[in-house]
Amino acid sequence: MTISETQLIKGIEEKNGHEFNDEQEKAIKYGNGPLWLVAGPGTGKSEVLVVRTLKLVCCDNVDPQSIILTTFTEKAARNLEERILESFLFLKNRYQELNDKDIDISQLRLGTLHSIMNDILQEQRFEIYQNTRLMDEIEAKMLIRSELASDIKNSQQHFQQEFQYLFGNFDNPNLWEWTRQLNKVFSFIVDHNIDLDNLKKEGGAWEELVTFYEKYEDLLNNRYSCDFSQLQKIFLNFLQSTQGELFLRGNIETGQPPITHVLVDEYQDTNPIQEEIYFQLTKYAPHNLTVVGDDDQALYRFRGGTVECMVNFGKRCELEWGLDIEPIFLNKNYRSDKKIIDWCNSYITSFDIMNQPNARISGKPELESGTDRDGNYKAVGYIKESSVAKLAKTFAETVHGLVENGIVEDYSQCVLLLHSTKNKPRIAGPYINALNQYNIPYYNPRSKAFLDQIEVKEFLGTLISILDPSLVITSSILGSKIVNMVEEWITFYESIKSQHQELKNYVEKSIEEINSLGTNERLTPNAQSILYRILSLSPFNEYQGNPEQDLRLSKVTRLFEAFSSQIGYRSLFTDKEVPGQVSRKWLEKFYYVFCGYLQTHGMDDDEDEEVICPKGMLPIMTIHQAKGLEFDFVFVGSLGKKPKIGGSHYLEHSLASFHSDTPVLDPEEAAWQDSIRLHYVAYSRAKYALIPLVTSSQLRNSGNQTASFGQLGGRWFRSNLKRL
Amino acid sequence: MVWEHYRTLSLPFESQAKPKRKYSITADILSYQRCPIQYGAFSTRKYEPSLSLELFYGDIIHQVLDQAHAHYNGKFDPSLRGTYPTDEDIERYFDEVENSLKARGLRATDKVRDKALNILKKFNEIEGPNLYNRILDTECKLQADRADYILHGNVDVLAVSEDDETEVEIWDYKGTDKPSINQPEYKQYEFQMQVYAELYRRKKGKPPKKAVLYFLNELDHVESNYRPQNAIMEVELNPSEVEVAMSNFDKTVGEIESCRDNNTWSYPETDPSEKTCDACDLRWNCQAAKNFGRNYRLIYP
Repeated sequence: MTISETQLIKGIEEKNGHEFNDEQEKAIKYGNGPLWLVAGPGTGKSEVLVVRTLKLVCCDNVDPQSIILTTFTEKAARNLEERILESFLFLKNRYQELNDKDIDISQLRLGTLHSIMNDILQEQRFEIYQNTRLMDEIEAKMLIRSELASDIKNSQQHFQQEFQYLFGNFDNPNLWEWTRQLNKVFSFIVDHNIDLDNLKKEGGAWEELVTFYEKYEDLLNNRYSCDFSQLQKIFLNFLQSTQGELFLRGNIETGQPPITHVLVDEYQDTNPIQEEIYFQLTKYAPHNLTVVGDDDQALYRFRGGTVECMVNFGKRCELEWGLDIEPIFLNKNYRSDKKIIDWCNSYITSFDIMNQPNARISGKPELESGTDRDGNYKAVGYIKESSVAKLAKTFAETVHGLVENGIVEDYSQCVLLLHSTKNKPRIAGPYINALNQYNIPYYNPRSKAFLDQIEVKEFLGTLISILDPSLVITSSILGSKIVNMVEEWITFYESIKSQHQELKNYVEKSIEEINSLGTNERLTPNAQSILYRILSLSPFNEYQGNPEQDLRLSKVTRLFEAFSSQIGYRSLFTDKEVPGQVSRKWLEKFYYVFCGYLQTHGMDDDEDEEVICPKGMLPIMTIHQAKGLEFDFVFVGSLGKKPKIGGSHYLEHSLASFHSDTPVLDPEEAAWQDSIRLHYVAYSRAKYALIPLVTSSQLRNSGNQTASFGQLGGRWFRSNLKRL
Repeated sequence: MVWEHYRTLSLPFESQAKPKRKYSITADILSYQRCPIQYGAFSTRKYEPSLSLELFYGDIIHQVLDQAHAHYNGKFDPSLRGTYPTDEDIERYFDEVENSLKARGLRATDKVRDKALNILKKFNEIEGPNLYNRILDTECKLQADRADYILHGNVDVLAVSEDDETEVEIWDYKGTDKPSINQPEYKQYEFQMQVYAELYRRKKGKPPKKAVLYFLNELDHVESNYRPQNAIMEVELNPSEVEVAMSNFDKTVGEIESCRDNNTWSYPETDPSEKTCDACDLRWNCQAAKNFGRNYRLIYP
């Protein structure tokens, strides 16, 4: 038995304590065919997605296994899953009809697209994915650095010249710089579904690129590995196979139902191969593909996302299926004070560049306040100081005052948004210092501060003191940055050894043991096990009692595992030629790949998997991290910067003829649009107060120099917004 | 002072409801019951164990068996549908799994390797003809929403009952010998199957007729083509036993949650077995191992 749409809407409205607006209700009830839902910030799109999914299950009697629902992050997926389950249980209690049949809501195929693809390929036993291991980004880069980068660098003739823009100012980029850019280009090829044959025909650097890419694919095959981009390609192959056909149409023999509905959240950050996957998943009429997103909030071009998928969804439906569809716009914002909404509207529409074709969905209405909340205070007002240090101090003082005076109850109701949250003097450093002065605890997992922690340095210093006590490798061939890092680690070990006799004994006896061996003798079947012997001793066993230090030590073991699995062996031998020394080959790999990764990329702490920010702490976030979130008070720093043209902007442009039928923006224009969207996301996070933090010199920048203040620039901003 | 602009506001903290955590029957609950210390380190605190292929033994066996089922089912090649994998097929599937592990630097000793392969061939020979054609589904996902958490598990095999086509059996493969009735695993495995049966009943509306544990190591050294007596263990499925099993799992999850909240992991009450400790990275300084009379002397390096 099912319930009616009216019952569903009424039930959920009862649960929520408020009604859906007309457009929300229209989107929830929307029948068959593609649904193009354009939802501005704070307009309740997640709730609509939840209830629309429940409508399919509870009203239309769709088997949960027939529904694919994708979100952008694992955290968002868990949140959506929880909300669906909670609302479903509420409806079951409210309507007896839903108890007549055992609906297993856990059978929904819900997750990030990558996790869903991985699950389906495994569940369907797609042969080329059998025994394949999905690598994360760190592993993929370690693999390229370990096995490919050097060959490519040495054999290339045209590549570096053609793609000089990727290497920026490096005339002689090192192998990690090569690794980083190869990883980017390889992903780009897959994400944009680039035709390799056409690329090859161009000759020169393009042909070289194909050769390198094919080498990478071969390497992945030999290693039974797959990266995130390749997973998409394999999945697309699956969908086009006989097995994929059975999966889509349903398999009577196994009782697996067909895939009938696909719902995609954050569609503005979809890349072209994902777009293709979604259209393949819904290739059978009536093409029940629901896409939800906001073109103004696209943030992920640097990872292959192309806002054009969202902007041109209608055209694509017409081209692919001959269907003429119109978007449904959700524009009633229930999040922000009216003045914040007005500022967001005027900000995004001030730019001529956003009125160009393909920049925004045409006919998009402005945001309106859904609550008419219009406080009698400065909901949008900036703080201006003469330097960042002073700005940071006023910021911290303000946060302190807000909590001390009961304006907000907890620090986590505020947020500081920055372009980068690295704890460096010119980035988040001044803010962190100021917060420390006011004793305000902060949560900044993406500060790249992992390697600054004593437990990490002492741990790695101890390991190196055992395996390479005389630093045979570092002194000769490693770059100075890695040498400095490693030498610093060793001084950390040296500084603790006298107070930790057992550790000192372990290190010294281990060195003796290694020295006593001849050439090519096995030290241990698994190098990782040495880490655990170190961890069993003081001070490391004590550090494990502190949850933060414990998590960092465990992260070292995970990084070491990533390294071991990418170099392809785990046992440790003495050197083939020099007796009494650890294998030079292994040490080189360890320094180049493991230490090199840490030195070039830095490392973040793990993020809390369950909460956005622990209670009692002030979150410092990048704007990307804040996607989809909201806070009572939003402080936005690092303003006034010139939009940065990144490798992806150039790549998109220079490879345009191989991936796009429509004209591609020139890199500078694309960078400007992206910068505008990034600011728009930052500004629209605020519920009660939006407080830009600016220095006098930043405010002097015009609308040609920065996107931070609207098209009319700092001067206009200064005279039209209120200074606090 | 900037904050003074906002004097009129008083915004309460709205705590976010923590999502319910998911607990796997084998990877969480049984693993915690074996040794809370080991479980805490490698599951919750996310330490990465120093892998050896011995630890992967169970995985290889599961993967190859799964591929044998997929073979019979025609998943890899529709023309093979209904054909039994030969010894060569099993070897081929085994090699592929082994090569993928080798690519990550995981190598078994010849002894372990040969034992695993031999067992798989034996299973295929002894059980294949009577089992594969009855299989309805493999790696079947089951889930239940409990009051405070979500419980989930993967049943290795769902098969049509031998003597009644309207009934279903659930099978679970264990890469071990059959435990004696005195060993804690015996009871834990029973609980596991009873809970699977209950999750199955909730999903399909009717309990399975049988729940069968298959102990693959019992096939080692078997010369004949008959199933050795100890290879299987049928678990009784009556509602009161199932209830006991469910509440046992609820209790364990309660313990895990409290350990997580306090970040302290209690010592196991019963011996986690010498084999467990021997393969554990924490053994160098483990009070739990010492409590059961095991002292591991540090080795160098």
